[in-house]
Amino acid sequence: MAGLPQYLSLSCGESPATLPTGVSSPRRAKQLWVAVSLRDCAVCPTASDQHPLTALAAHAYGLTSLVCVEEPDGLLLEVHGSLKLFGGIAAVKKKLAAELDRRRLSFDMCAAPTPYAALWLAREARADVLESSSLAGCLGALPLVATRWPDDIKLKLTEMGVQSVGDCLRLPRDGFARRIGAPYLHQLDQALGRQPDLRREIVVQPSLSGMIEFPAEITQTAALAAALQSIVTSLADDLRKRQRQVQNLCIVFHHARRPPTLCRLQLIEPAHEVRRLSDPLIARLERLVLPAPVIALGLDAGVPVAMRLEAVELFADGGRSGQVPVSPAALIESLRARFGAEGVYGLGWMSEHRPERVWIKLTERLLHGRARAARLPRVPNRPLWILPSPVPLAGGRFEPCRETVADEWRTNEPERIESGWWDGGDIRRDYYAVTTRCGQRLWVYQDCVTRSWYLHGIFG
Amino acid sequence: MPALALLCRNSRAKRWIVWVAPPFVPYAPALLRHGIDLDRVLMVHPTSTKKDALWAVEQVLRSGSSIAVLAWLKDASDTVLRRLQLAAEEHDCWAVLFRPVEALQQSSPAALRVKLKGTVGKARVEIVKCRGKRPGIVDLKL
Repeated sequence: MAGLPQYLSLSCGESPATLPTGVSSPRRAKQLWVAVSLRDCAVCPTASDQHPLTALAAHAYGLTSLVCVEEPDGLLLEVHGSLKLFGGIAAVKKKLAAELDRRRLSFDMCAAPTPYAALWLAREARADVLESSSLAGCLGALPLVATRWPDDIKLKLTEMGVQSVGDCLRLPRDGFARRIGAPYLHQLDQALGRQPDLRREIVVQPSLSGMIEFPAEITQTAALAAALQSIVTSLADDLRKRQRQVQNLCIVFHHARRPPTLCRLQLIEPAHEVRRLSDPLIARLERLVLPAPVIALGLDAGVPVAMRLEAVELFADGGRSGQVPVSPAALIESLRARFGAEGVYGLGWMSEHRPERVWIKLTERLLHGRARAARLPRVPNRPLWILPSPVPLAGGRFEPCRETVADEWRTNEPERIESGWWDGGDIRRDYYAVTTRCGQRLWVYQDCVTRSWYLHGIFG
Repeated sequence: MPALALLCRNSRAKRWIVWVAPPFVPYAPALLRHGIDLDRVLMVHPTSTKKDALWAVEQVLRSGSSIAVLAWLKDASDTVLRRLQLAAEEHDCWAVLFRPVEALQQSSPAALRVKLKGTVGKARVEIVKCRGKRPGIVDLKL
């Protein structure tokens, strides 16, 4: 037996046309590859200079995480893990076909348990092979041209009378390896699933910048907003596929004979949803004054960060309407887009004696990472409203008197606040709470150094 | 104030208490004293026009991510107020609008309208309108 040439086992005779497709069997392979073969790769219908396969690969990441490009015409997707999510191989192929049609590419598509098998079958537009057992039979019927081996190899095989893959498989292994080459034998083994086919998935360049050039100069905001919307939609699509988020966006408006206008947007927290990104940008655009008509619109999203997934409540607390509420960050962003970062802020509290330094405007870190201030052991009675800075009463000479102030305020002990000698903001003040004749309660103080009176707050 | 503190305590998810165009800045220690969670307080100062303030209130109400809105509005038409009211009811948000006294002449769809007048030692609360109840006057001792 040892002397006999070792033949590859082959179950020939089964025509691919009669092969039932979509049959699930307990012996289904652990991998299922979908191959796309472009019929005419010379035509490059995409506007960018990117190869159509690369652009397609970027889209295919929406279907699976393992995508390979097989030069010159093939794209391979391992979809076994995605079948359940999308509802079967037919649904996955349909999605992919829809995208290919959208790009106006003519293609053939086929699914098989190994990458080479899928690719070769796709090149010849054969039916899907879902079971490893029938793989050899289907491959055997393929002509040699499906392998895209070099012409001299194909010529050599043709001279030997080999017309199909099946003929190759019928040749003695060692003779095939010696005369044609071990790599081709290895490929055949890989196609049949006898040898592992390890593939490196392609890494799509993080093209988080986009550009739209207009056929004519644009002067209307509505047209710019539409262009912005489309560019942000493709960005969001990209981010979702790669599970990334962005925080900084920069929109570049290119003009014909002027330096470009930049519009930067910093989000409160990284986001990837279309509305979170586009709403603030469009609100900003509406208020932007552009110096000249725009000929091109660019978008730069900087370096994306990994997506932070948040636990959402199963029964979202959307009020009676049942609508999904806008996230707290999105609210701030939409308000800030209109009023600026200065107009929308939170309140912070510090452990400090000087009344004007106790509170601070918080414009950053409104949502997370704020150290919760330890509660005061006893918060003294303070007015609800504080003036931005103390207002001198009648030029500082005013002293609350019986005509204006109702109660016997002088009998109250003043609250002496004396602090800040160490940082130059030294104060020495006597604070009184006084009630005016019309019922307003005010927080006034007398500066102990200058003896002038100031109004500092109003009780609610 | 106690009502706001109660809202702070009762809602689990982080929802804002938004102050739109207040006349002054609320003083943080006073808010703390009343038990209001400062992390939820969000101040909004609309830039110029009165439409901005109304827009801000409506945004806040419609977002569904705030629990209360306190807004100081100069003037607002009946229809706008009705719109705000519907948005507030739809998204479970407590909306309080502070309006000038002259606005009392105007009709309003609000569920409760109150006129406050302070005198020495007491405050007069005039309930101008209350859905399903009679108007009345209450004096509060301070």
